[in-house]
Amino acid sequence: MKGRSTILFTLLTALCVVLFVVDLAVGSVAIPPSKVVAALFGKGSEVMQTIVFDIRLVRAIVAVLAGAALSISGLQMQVLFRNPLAGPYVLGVSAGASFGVALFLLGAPMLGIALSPELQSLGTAGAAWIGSAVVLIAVVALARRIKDIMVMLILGIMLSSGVGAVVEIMQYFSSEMALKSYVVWTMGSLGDVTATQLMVLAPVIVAGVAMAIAAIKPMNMLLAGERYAASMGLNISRSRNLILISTTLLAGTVTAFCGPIGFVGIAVPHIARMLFRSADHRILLPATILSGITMLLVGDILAKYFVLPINTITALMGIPIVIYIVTRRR
Amino acid sequence: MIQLENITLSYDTRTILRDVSLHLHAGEFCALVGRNGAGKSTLLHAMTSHRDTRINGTALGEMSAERLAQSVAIVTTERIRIENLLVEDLVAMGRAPYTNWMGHLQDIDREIVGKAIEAVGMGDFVGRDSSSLSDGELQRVMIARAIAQQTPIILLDEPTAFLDIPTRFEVCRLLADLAHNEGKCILFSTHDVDAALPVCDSFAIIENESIQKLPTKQATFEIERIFKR
Repeated sequence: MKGRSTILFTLLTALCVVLFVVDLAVGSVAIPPSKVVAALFGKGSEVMQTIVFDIRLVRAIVAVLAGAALSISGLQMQVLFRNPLAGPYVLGVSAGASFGVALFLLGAPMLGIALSPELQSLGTAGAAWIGSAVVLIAVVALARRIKDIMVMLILGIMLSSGVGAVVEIMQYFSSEMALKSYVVWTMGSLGDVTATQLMVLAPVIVAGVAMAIAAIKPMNMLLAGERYAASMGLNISRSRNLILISTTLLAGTVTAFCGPIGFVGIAVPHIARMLFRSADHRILLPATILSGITMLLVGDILAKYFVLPINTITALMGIPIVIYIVTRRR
Repeated sequence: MIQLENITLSYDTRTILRDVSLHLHAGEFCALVGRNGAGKSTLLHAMTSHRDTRINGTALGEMSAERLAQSVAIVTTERIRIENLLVEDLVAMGRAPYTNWMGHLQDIDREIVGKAIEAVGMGDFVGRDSSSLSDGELQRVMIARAIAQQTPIILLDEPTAFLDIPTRFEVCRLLADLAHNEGKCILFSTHDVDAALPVCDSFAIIENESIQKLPTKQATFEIERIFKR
């Protein structure tokens, strides 16, 4: 069992490194991987270095961070809700982000405010982040009062639908241009993050991952349910809050900067469980991170190759996995 | 060992148990019986959550969660079926109150887990996926988890429900040995009077919002009266 995990960890890490280089190689100008590696080590022509460092490296790093973050939060939600189909967006994190962005992108033009492109991109990320943070605060406040975790799940779904309806009303009254920029945001993009924004994105993700590591033992105990976990001395509300905050930092921040990227959070933890055949989060957490990075790098390579939005690719990759999960046990 | 003194318990607005007291001592194997809805689960829950429950003289209200976890282990009616969760790892969960923040098992923890699995006769199942076990096997594993928690008190909610008749007797015998050989105080709710009668030291009988604890010999008549009238 231990041997299997070691081999898998080695293989997955190697795969991530290879995919990372391939991701740097693919783009509007195809660069042979050997030249990518050369450029990474400061060799090769100036043009190559500019393309690899200034244009593609940030995007590839964003893919790595987003893949890790979304899949960790999926793992956390599945344990917290004891439901294999839970994901980072069931709590309404993406609904909150979408609402913030809709208010900003659709609302500002209605009020006759015109913004420069830079302000628009920064404002979009900020609005999304505030939107998901507001939802988080509401969720944590509710979680204190509502003991039943299934009720929380249903509230999350209702919240998403409610927000969706309000956003649709706003879309109906919006100008074509505002509507387009909102729809493009909902398709997700790893390439719109600037190096400066990465300086904000990266530390927040690292903080979220650190909290996820701190939650490993509580997650293992919560596998047996809250009753048992409490009987073994776990402070349920504190652990639940730790997990919820970690999820919002991870999923909320990625959604803010890259738009809603679906199906990574639901599908990846199951891939990790199937590969590693373990329920121990000391194995599952790193396994989920590596699998998530792999999935999003593959997604980004395909997105660049076929020039498609990332959200459609992750959906097409994730949906068969989810279908497999729900039909397998029958 | 564990005692409730003049406690009233209600569920929503309905009073379930009025002004009840119950004392259990170390090494005592006691069956909790009563009709459906009489308040067996409510009582068991109160024994780990009511602030006036006393364990060795200390009220729960003054006890840290950690201390409580090292004093009382529970086995609920819930069937834990988690894919890929090995029998060994499920039992090792019981070590949680003793391990570090990562839940790292020391050699001594592994030894305790191994012994707990042996004690319930599941030695051959150590590396098996717990979700593939039968109800009876899983119930034994859950008891092993409680043993691994190394608490002087174990509370079980209907541990023999959904088991076939031979397994019911085996589980009762196993719990009796645990109480009598290890000196643990064990209280379990059950409808299975036939399996409990030969091995229990005492019966706590719930009827009309009150609890009466009787030694097994004297309990037979009372139980007959309540359940077979």
